[in-house]
Amino acid sequence: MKKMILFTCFSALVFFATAQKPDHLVSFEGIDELQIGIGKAEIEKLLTTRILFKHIGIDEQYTETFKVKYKGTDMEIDLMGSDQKTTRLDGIRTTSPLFKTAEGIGIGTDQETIINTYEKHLLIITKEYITLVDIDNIHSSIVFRMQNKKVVGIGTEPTAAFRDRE
Amino acid sequence: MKKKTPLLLGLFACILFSCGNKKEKDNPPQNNDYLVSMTGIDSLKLEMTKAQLEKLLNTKLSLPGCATDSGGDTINVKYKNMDMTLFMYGSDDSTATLRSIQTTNASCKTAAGIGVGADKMNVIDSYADYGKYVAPELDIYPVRSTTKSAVAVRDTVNTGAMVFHIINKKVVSVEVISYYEFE
Repeated sequence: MKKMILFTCFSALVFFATAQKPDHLVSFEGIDELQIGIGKAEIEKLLTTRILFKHIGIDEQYTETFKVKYKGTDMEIDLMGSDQKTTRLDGIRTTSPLFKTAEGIGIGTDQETIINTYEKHLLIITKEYITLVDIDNIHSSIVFRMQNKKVVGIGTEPTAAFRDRE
Repeated sequence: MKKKTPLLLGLFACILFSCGNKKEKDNPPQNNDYLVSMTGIDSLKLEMTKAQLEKLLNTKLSLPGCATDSGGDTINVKYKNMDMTLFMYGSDDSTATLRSIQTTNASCKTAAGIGVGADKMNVIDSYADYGKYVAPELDIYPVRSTTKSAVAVRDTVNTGAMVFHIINKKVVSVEVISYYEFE
C-alpha cells in the first residue's frame, strides 16, 4: 500500500513538473530552453552546432544575428558581446506556429486578442510590431511581428524602448 | 379613380420630400466639436505662456508651484464653458508654459472623431500609423487598476502624445501632453 502511495505521489510530481515547463513556450525569459542571457557555449550545446563569429571579437560590431535550427525549427538569434567569453543571447525569434506564449498567443493570433489578453501589461503597438512588456520588469519583452493585424512572427528580446532606462 | 392613384402618390411623395427638406433647413448639421490634436485642444495650445492663457481664458491664473519652482501647477479652468484641467510648468510663473490639457467634455474630438465615449479598440485602430502605448493606469502607486487604462498615441515628430484615459474599455477623458513617458 505504501509503495502504491509513493508511486502515485512520484507520478503526480513528474506530471506537474512536466506541465509547468511545456515545450515550445515563449516567455519573457526566452523561447523554450533558449533563454535570454545564456552564453555562447550553452547556446552551442542546445543547438548542437558551432557558432562562428564574423564580427564579435573581430571588428567594432558587438551584435550578430544568426539563422539557426532549434529542435528542427528555424530560428533567428541575436548575440551580443565584445568577445567569445562575454557573448550572450540577446534576442530570439521564430515564425513557427508551434511556439506560443503561456496564454496561447502565437502565429495567426489577431491584434484584438493580444490587446484583450494582456490588459495587465504594457503593449507598445506600431504598424509592424506589438511589444508585450512585463510591467514589473520593463526590460523584458515578447515581440509579435504583425501583418494585416495578425501575428506572423514571435520572439523575446530586451525592450528596445527602455534599453537605456534604469 | 385608378388613373388618379399615381398622381396622388406623386403628390404625397412631393409633400414628404418638401417636409424633409424643411426639417434639414431648420436643423442644419451642427459642428460644435473642438479639435483635439497633438498641439492642443482648440485654441488652447501646448507651450502657451501664462500671459497668453490669461488673455485667452479672460482670467488671472495663480501658479504658486511654478512661482516657487516646486513642480508646477495643476489648475482647473473653464474654456468656452467646458471644464479643462491644465498643467503648467516652469521655474517661475512668468516663464511657466502649458504642458498638458485634459478634458472630459464629449465635444472635444480628434480629427478621426475620437473623444469621450469612444471604444478602446476604436482608438487603437484609428491611429494605425502611430506608435501607441497601451497600459493599465496606476491606482495608488505601485498598484495598477483592473478597470482603468490609457492609450497614448505618440507624436511622430515631437515628444508629445494624445492620451486617451479609459474606464471599462470606453474613453472617459482626453489629454494632450508635451512630453510623454510611460510610468
